[in-house]
Amino acid sequence: MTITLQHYLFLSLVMFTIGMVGVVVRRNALIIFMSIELMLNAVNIAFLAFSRWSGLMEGQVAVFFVLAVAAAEAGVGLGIIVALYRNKPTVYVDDLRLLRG
Amino acid sequence: MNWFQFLGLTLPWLIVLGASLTVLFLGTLMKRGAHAVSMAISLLSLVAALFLSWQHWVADVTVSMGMMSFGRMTFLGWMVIAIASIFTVLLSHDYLARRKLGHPEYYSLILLSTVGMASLIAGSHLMLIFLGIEVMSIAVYALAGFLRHRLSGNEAALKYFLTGAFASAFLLLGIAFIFGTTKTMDLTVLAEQLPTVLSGDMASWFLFGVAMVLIGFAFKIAAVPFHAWAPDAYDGAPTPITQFMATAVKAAAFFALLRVASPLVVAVGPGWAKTLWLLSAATMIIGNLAALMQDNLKRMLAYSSIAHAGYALVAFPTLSTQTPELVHGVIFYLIAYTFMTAGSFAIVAFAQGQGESADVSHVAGLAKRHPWMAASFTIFLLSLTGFPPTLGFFGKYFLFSGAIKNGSIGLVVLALLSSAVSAYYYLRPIVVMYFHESREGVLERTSPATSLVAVVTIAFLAILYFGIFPSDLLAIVQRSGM
Repeated sequence: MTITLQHYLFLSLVMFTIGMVGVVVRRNALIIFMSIELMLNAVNIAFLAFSRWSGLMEGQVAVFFVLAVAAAEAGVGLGIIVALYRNKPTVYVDDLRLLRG
Repeated sequence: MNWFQFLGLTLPWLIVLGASLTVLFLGTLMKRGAHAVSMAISLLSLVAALFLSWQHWVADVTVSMGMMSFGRMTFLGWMVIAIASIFTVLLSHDYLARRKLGHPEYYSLILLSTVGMASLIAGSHLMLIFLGIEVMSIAVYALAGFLRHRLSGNEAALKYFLTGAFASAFLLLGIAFIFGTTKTMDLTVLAEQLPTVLSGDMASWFLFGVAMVLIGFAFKIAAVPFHAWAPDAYDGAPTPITQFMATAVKAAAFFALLRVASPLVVAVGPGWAKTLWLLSAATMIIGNLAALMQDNLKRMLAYSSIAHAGYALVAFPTLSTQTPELVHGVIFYLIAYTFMTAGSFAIVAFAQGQGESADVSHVAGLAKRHPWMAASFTIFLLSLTGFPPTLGFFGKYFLFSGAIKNGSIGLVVLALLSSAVSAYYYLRPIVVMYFHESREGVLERTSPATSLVAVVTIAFLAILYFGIFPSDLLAIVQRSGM
C-alpha cells in the first residue's frame, strides 16, 4: 500500500481534532496550551503534505513561519501563565472567575 | 520589484517600527523620565505614519509588490489604525502614570502591534495576512495582561491568549487547505483560479479551507458564537488597551476580512451567504441583548462592540466585486465606530479614576462636575445608538441602504430592530449622568488630564463635523476605490 496525500490529510485532521477536543475539554491552562500546539503541528503536517504533493516550496516555507509564530506565542503565553501563578497559585481556568456578568 | 518604491510605500510603518525599537532600548538606558519620552516618541512616530499614509493616499499609487498590494484602500486603512493608535497612546500616559506602571515596553508593544496591523491591511498573500494577525495579536496578549499584579488582568490576558491562539490554529488550517487545493496563497492569483478549483474534484476541501478561515476571522472580530472571550478580555485589560482592542484591532481585522472575503465569498455562492447571514444576525442580536444586562461600562461597551461587528457584517452576505457601495458602507461604518468607541473609552478611563473598572454609577453627577465631558459622552452614546445628526447615524444609513440595494432586506430589518433595543442601554448612562447625584464624590477631586481631553475633543469634533457634513468623509471613502 502506498501512502497518499489522503493519508497525510487524515492524520493531520485527526491530530487537529484531538487538539481541538483537548482545548475544549481540559481545564489546565498548560494542557490547553499544549493542545493548541498540537493543532498548529497538525496544520504543519497538512502544509508539508500539500507541498510535497504539488511540488511547491511555498508550503515548506509556511511551516517555518508557523514554527516561529508558535515559539513567539509560547513565549508570551507562558509569561502570562507565570504572571497569573504569582498572584494565585493555580493553572486551572475554572479557578478564574473574577470577570463575570 | 522596485525596492526603493517599496521602501517609500512602507516608510510610515518603518518609522513606527524604528520608534518601537528605540523606545524599547530607551527603557534600559534611562532611569527617570523614560515614560514621558517614550510616549512622545510613540506619538510622533504615529503622527508621522498618519501624515505619510495621507500623502500616499493623495498621491494615489496602486501597485502590487511581492506579498503586498498597495492602493488607496490600503492607505485609508493605515490612516484609520494610525488614528486609533494615537488615541490609545494619548489615553495611556495618564492611565499608566496614575498606576505607576509607565514602562516604555508598553508603548513599544503598541507600536509593534500597529506594524502587524499595517501588514495585515496591505497583505495580499494569505501567509502575510496570518503573520500580520499574529504580530498584532501577540503584542496585544501581553498588553491585555499589563496590570500584572492584578488577578483580573492576568485572567483577561490568559483568556484572550488561549482563545486567540485557538483561533489562529483554525485560520492556519484553512490557509493550508486553500493552499493545497489552489496551489497558491496569493489572493489575486487565487481569485483567477477559483472557477477551475470549484469545478474540480478538490472543491469540497477548498470549501472546508474557506470555512476554517472564516472561523478564524470570526474569532478575531468577536462574532457570535465565537465571542465568549471578548467581554472578559475587554473588562480585565487596562482601559486604553480595551480601547485599542475595540478600535484598531477590530478595524484592521475587518479591513483584512474585506480583502479576503471579496474573492472567496463571491465565488463560493449562496451557501456561504446563508452562513454569513446567520453570523451577522446572531452577532447583533446576542451582542445587544447581553449588553442590556450589564452594569459595568467596560462590559457594556464590549457587548456593544460585538453588536457593532454584527452591523458591519450585514454587508458581507451580498458582498462581491460588483458592489463597491457595500465595501464603502463597511469602511465608513468602521471609521465612525472608531471615533465613537475611542471617545467612549476615554470617558470610561476618566470615570474609573484609580479603580479597576467603571460601573454606570461611576458617571453619576458627571454633568454637574464636568459638563463638557458629560456632553461629549452623550454625543458618543447617541452616535453609537445611531441618532442623527451624528456620524453613527450616517454610518448605519450608508451601510444599511447599500445592503437593501443588494437585497438583504430581512437582515437590515433585524439590524434596525436590534439597534432600537440598544437605545435602552446606551441612554441609561446619559440619564445617570444628568439626573443622578454622585455618591462618593470621586469625580470632584480629579480633573481630566490634558491628553484625555484631547482624545475626547478630537472624537467629539470628528463625530459632529462628519455628522453634519457626512459627504466629506463619504467622498474620501468612495475615492479609495475597492
